[in-house]
Amino acid sequence: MNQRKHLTLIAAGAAFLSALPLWNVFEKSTWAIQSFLVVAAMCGVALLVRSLRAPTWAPTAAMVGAGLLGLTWLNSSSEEYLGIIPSPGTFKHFGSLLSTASTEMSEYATPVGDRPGFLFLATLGVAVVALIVDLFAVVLRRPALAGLPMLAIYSVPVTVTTESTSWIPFALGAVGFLWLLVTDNVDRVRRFGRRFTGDGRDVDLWEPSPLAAAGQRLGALGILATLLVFLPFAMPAGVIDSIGAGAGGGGGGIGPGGKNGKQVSMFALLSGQLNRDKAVDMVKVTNVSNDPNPYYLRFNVLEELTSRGFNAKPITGGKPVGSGLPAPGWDPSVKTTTQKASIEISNELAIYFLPIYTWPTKLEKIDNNWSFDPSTTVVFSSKQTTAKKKYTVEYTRAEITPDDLRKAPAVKDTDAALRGMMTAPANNVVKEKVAELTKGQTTQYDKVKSIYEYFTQANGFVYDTSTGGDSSGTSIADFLKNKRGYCAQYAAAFGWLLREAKIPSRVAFGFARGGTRQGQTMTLTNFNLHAWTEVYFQGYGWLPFDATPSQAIGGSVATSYLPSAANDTIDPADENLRNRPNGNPSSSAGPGAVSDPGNNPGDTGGVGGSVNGASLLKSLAVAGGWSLGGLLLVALLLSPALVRGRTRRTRLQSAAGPGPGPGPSLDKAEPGVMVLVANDQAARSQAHHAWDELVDTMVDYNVPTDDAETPRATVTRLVTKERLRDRAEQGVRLLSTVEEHARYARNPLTGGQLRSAVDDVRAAFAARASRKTRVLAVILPPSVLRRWRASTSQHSSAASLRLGQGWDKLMRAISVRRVVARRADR
Amino acid sequence: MTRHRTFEELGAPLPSPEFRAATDAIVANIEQVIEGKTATVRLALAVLLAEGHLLIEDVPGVGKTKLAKALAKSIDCSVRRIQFTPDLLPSDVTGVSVYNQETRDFEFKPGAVFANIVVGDEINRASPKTQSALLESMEERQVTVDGATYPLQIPFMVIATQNPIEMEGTYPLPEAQRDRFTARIAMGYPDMGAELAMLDVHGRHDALDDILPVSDATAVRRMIATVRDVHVADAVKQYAVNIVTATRESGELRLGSSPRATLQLLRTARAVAALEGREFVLPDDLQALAVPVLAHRVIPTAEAQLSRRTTDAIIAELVHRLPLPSDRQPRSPYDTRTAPPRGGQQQQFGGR
Repeated sequence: MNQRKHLTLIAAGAAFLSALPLWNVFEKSTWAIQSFLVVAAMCGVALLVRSLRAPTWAPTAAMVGAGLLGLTWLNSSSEEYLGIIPSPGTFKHFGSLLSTASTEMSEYATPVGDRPGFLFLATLGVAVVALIVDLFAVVLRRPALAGLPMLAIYSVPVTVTTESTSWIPFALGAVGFLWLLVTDNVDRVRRFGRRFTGDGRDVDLWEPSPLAAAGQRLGALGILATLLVFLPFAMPAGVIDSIGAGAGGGGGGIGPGGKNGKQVSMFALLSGQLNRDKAVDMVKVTNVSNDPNPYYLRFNVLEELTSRGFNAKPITGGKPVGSGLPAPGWDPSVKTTTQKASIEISNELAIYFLPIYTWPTKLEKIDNNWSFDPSTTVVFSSKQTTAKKKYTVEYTRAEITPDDLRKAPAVKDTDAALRGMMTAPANNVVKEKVAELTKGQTTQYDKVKSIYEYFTQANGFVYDTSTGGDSSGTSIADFLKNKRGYCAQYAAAFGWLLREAKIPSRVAFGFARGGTRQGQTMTLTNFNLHAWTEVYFQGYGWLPFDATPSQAIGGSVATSYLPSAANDTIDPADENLRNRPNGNPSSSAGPGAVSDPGNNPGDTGGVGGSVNGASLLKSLAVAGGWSLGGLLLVALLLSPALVRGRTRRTRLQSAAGPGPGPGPSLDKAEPGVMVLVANDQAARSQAHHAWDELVDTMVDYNVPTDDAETPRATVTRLVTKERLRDRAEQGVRLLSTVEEHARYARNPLTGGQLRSAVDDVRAAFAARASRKTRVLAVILPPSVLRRWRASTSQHSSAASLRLGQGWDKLMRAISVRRVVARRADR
Repeated sequence: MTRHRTFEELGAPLPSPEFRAATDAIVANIEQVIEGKTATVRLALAVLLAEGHLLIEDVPGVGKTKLAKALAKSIDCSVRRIQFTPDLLPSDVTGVSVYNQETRDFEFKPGAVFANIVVGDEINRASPKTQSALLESMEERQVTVDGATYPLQIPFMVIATQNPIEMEGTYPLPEAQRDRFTARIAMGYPDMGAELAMLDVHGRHDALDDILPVSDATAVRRMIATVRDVHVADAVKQYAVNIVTATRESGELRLGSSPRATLQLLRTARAVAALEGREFVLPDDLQALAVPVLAHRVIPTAEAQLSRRTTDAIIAELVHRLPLPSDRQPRSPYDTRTAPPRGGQQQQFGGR
């Protein structure tokens, strides 16, 4: 088997290995079998064609054909000729498969089942990658470039999967790429002949050459450094979390880190679901006890606040729901009612947290795989998801008045858990804003209310789901400045500000009210997903506060303790807004401007004007940035030409000397005629400059140069081989004579018209060169590039040499062998 | 000390035009006998002016002895000829002390070596014992017999011929002896025109009889002084050292060139430059001279011999690949040799 065929095999193998991370995307491995079949077919055909000594394009074409046949066979549309030859109908079928895949992509969460669209997409992707890898690695012999398509398919699972994934397929993919690189390199070395060791022994094909030891050490060092730097980031969040949970000593950990990983992406999940372009039914709630005003359905809460935003704290407590739920610790004076609701969850909502109403007292028809954590009032499971669950929940509703809360005692900061939720990471914007808002407020309730009221449209806040799911410190500050965001940002910002004011708060996730209603049954879709803030009041526990403007979202509910907040009637227009595809209510002008035109006309106008001015400025800035970038790019591209031009100018200027001396003309370019100057250093450097310029011009115009050649021999070659004639010949002879004298004679020559000689030679080269060479000589002069390359390699090799010497010294210093058994001196 | 004394004996250097006229006359004179071999003749003359010795090695009948004799005859100086035969004795070369009945004392009878130009024909036919008699005279330009040292005249040049093909009954020159020859040249066959012309000239009588001396020992001494005056730039010296070092480091050579070779290479280059009318040596001169001056001193490895690589080819390739030294160029990044030690960190004693 010759090398090219060997490489074909390995390129196909590497391409397949690089696709292995897709394992994290699919539930089953059907895709792998299909992709393997297609890649194997392509590889086999390529091998066959390569062994026939076909032209270079033939294997690639054959691979395309084989891949197409394979795909047709696997995804047959029953319109093929002879059952396997693709027909126009087949391609139509492929197109429909692709469009199915693209719609399904936004609907299905990973891992996905064997849906034909996905399977086709995966197989097609792997086939295309295999084709491109073969093209790069085998046809063009640039295996490093083959890494690009491999990287493309390699990174698909990373972007698609929200859960933490297994690292083994990724490692296998990387091994595939390394395999390809190593094979190509070994092949390259073997083409020179035998590889050898420093001891003069032959080396086996796969044995690393001892001469490569320095490189290996460098590589190992690099990998080690990378690992040390990036390992903390690369580890799945769940792993760290569960490590933390283990250290905390809590008995009933929630289990595998992968499950906990779900919590981390709460914001992303919310933003993703809100931005889907069609409504999907998720939950059906039947209000059994006819609660007149049920609050939001809630499933999770984020308690931990770092500078990167709100995060889920690993749940450490929890009892199986079968053992009953503890009653909420109300103050005895609080008036409560008990309500009951039956909840049915569709296949579309598959999370590890059960949506329930706040303050549950009893859960029914749910098994003991689900646990209840009293501190977060979250029902969770480590084994099951909520998909297709049907259960009832009994819950209490309390009538709490603002006055009750005003009278609530201050939060005791002896509770460590609460104290943790009373501090916020340092952020100057937030700090100033909180100081400004809570000025003069004495009770906790008034402080909360004052901060709550800050997030109103009157203050210019606009609901906008397009801003993404980030809630880190900088984006909170941005939100406070831009005042554009969606519920998660309202909730997070509100919570952050509260914590800054030393009030315990956390961010809750669930469903707002709304959806279509039939009798007492309400259907909630992905557009009803919502986030709000919960605030702790001593004696009342965690009370929900929804800072999102009630006009902005449908199904907003006011609470008894915050009556001024919003109307508790559900406005059908709002619901429509909320339920329409691509539920982005502020896509046109922002709800503030639409729904509230009368209240604050001046304010709104001001906002609009400033927005216009800002957008103009922004577009100017963007345009400026682009043009600056373009200029930089052009400058970067032109820099070799500019450098060359500058070098030529300085050389020619210095070659021309201080003034046009009365030198002999070119036709009398006889060395004896020229003036001998007594050891004139300037004359020498003039000659050197002219000669250097000649050599660089030769390099620029692809005329070979030789370090071992004397000026005289160079001229002979230029005249005989490159056929320089007339003025160019005289010029080059003059240059060589002058350079010879400058280098080797007692006294250099002076007075020759070196500048015009160089120009003549240059013109002669240009006349003989091809157009491509001429253009390259001007735009990307090889002489400059070569010098840069040489200096780069020189510096890098010097650096690696130093590193190797240092390493050797180190190894010699700490070598155990040296202590145990001294080797014979060599 | 000796060198200093002889330098003063040389006389004033010749001005450039006179030098040219003189050398051209000698070359033209020799060319009356040797047709169409200008380069060889000039090289032979260069070796004379470089105060060196010449080894002419070629197959029989191409005019080795003719060249030697023509060169000797062109210069009006003492010429001695030794026909090396297996029974030749060292005393035949150097001279012998004979008992003089009249004075009742030993009297030194100078051997063949006491002349300005010594033509040693078929040098490899004499036994190594006899060949060795030349060692001292060629390098030190003196002869020591019975404890007395006799200096030789200036110019002193040994022109030896040998036949590389016929090996029976010959004794190859020892390495030390070969190293003393400045250059080894091959005559080569004449081209067809030259051979035709030779038939006309040599058909009736020996052309060697016709030629007359065109120069004398005094003039040659002044020419030698001129040659010594030729300028050698540092870069050229460095290049000479690089070439010689390359022969020592070459993988195909078991033995590289000696430092004496460096000296003689540069000396011959001076002579060649002067013959071309230049007052300075070019790297081109070194390139042209590397094969004649270095190739006979080096010994190829067994592998190179097995692959039929002649030392000429090896040296030519070395020179072809060796970059010109230039203080304006940085050290090549691919140069893996250790950098020369800076400062006084040099090893005091060489190790084995």
